[in-house]
Amino acid sequence: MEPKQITDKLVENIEHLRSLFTHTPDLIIHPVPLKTGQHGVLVYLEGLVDKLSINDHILHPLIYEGNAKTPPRNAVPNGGKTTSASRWSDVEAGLFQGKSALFLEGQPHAVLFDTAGWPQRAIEEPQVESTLKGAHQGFTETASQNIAMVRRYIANRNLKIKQLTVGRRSQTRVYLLYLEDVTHPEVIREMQGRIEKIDIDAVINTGELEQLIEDNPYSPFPQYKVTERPDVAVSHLLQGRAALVVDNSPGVLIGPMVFVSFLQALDDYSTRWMVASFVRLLRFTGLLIGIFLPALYIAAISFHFEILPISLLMSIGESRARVPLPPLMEALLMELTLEMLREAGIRLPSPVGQTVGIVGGIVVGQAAVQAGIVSNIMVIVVSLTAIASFILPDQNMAASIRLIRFPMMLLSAWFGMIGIVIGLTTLVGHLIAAETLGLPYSSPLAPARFGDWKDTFIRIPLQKMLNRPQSAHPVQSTRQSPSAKNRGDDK
Amino acid sequence: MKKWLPAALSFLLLLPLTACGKQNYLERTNIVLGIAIDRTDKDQLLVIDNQVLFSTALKEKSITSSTKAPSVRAARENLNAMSRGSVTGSKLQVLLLGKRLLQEKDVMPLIDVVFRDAKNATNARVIAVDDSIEEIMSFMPRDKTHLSVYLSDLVDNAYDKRSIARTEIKQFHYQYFEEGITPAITQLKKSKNEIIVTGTALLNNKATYIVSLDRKESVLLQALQENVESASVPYTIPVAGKGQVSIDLRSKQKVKTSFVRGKFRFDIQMKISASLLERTFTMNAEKQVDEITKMVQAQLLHDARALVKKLQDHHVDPVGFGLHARAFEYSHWKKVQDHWPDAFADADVHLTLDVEMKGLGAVK
Repeated sequence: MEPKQITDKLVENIEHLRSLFTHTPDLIIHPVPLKTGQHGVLVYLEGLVDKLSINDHILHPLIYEGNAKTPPRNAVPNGGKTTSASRWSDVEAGLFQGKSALFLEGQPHAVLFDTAGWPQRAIEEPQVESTLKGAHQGFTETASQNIAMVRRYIANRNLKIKQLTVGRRSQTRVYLLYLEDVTHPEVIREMQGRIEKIDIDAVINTGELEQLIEDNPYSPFPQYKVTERPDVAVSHLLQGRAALVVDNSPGVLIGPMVFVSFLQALDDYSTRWMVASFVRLLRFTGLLIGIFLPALYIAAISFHFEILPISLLMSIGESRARVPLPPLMEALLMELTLEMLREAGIRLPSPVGQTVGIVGGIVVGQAAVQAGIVSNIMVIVVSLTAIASFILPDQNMAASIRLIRFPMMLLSAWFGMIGIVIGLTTLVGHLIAAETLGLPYSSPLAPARFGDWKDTFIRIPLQKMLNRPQSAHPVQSTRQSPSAKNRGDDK
Repeated sequence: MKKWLPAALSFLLLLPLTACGKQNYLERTNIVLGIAIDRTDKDQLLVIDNQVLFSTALKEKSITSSTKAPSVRAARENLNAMSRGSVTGSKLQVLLLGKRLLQEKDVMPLIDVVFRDAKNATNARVIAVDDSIEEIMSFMPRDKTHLSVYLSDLVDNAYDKRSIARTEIKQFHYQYFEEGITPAITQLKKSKNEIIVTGTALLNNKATYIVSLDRKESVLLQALQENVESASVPYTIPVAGKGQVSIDLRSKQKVKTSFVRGKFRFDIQMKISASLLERTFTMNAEKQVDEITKMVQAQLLHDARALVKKLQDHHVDPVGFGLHARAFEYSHWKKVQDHWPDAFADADVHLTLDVEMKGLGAVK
């Protein structure tokens, strides 16, 4: 029978500790002869703690300075929290969180010092989400640091944080961040409920958690945004969304998202509105090109070449005349090659990655055309689609768009333009029906909320954007007073 | 599963709806861009078609084949038998009609297939060819442009810049079946090395060739149709003993329709704004504005009246006075609607013309 409580006999405690942590060479049990004459041991997991602070703030004072009058729990390394635990499960959890436990002879509890100091990365600019004008710091793998970065943006007590734990084995700490006076309480309740319902062994990063709490796993579209940028997270918090900081993962999950917000970037707000609007429109065009261009090309040259102007028809016909493959095969060949090149580029180390580009560019771009395997118009179509999908600011959305392209190509090869229309109808139907955290996914387009259109296809000047977008149903909608003098949003 | 079943079922239902049939690969289709029709001596049709040739190896962009057959569709079957892919007229650019055919036959039943088969393009330009269609169809543009594209560009340019009638098949259909107007189509001829747009060919309501207008008359015809409201048309006026002036004209008009003493009467008030483009004699243009205006006005009036007389003499109404007659004098129109061109030939047309000089050019 396992004792749940710590006893007042040090030897028993040490024995029990050893039986708990077998085959754990990184568990350090350090005997501490206190200056007061008491016997004790300090227990910690090497690597999860900051040894310097253990030495300076715990061991040194205890061994050389302490007297009976000052209880050891007054030692406060790193300014962190010091607690005492009398249950073994608390000690165990504490040790895994980088705390060090002090057991003293004759005391039926352990003192837990916050000595966490595991290996962590320096704050650097996230590589997958670069920005022109935003801040150049990104989230790291340490949740507390990530929360601090968000706090620095919002110096307001209404920024609330709910701590949750996910994963029976991993005990991953997850923090739900939201602005209490802005975010709709139902959103928080829903998100918290979904996280609490998860019963899983371990969650390794945000991407996994995202899939566990999304509304429709069969939708091709991402329903949450995962960002590595604190400024992006803050911007969404201010729009009334909730952010989920997952320990051990630099990705912060944001929800509830709407479709169009995947086409918006933070740079849109820091560049002047005309430029930003132009770029927005460019992205929507890119979205359409990314989904439909190869399909339209296939439909045009295998069913309805009448839609092409005569001169274009002739040049397409000329380059197609040499190609032995039917249009669908040609398009699939090229699109798959492109996807392979892209995928190869991601995983390869960057010096080798460049070779992929060169090989792909030369072999696919030039040699294949010269050899007559594909037409040069097809190369243009494929490159255009690739560029179009690359301008989408969100990687998850861009990946979805790339995926939707393939069923569209099949539909267009089977049924021509009618196939494309069927595909488009299905897509639009799905988008209209889709929900995320119980809120409509395609807001502000369906349901139409014209007030939000100021910041959808175009972005009007910031002075005119007085309200928060309604898509996340914020309880406080005013963001800026019209006089532009009184900007505080604290009531 | 319950959610997916209706989706799958409706998808299955959609499949037979599409009716797209087989795929129709561009490079395996013989796309006919131009058809020329004439009659042979043996009362058969000579049909020449001009197809796109998709080849990077050859310099030629087009391939021309000809056949003799009793009808256009039969000719297409003959041509189909010669082709590698399926022949389609869905990108038809030009429809050339030989003058001999136009003079002897009603062409509408011949080109019926163009309208009846919905796959055919209805925006091909209808063109009358002065002499043999073979010569035109064997013409090779010097820049190796596709012949039919060359021809349609030629017609478009003639229409845009020089106001010569351009009639697409669908308009031709309208002009043919509308009682109040007679067809007018572009006329081409082949000179030694070039194809030249000579003017407008006027047909009667049976689509039979009646008379041609030269380029100058064609411009005035377009002016009467108010087609040059926005396009500028240079119009050259010879000045007796001195040389000539060229002007750029825009026209607007008012037509008053009445029925007087058993005849239709049209009072046409043309307002022409002109600007001077060229003069080939010395004069002080600024001081002599009135003189030039008067000269231009007199010449234009003379030419316009001559044109109207020509139309009346030949019993054709390409302007569409019949539409005015129907709109304003319906009871009288009703009696003559079956032979409107004859009634038009009888009508009184009073034409007045007012020229305003808008500009004298950039130099003094």
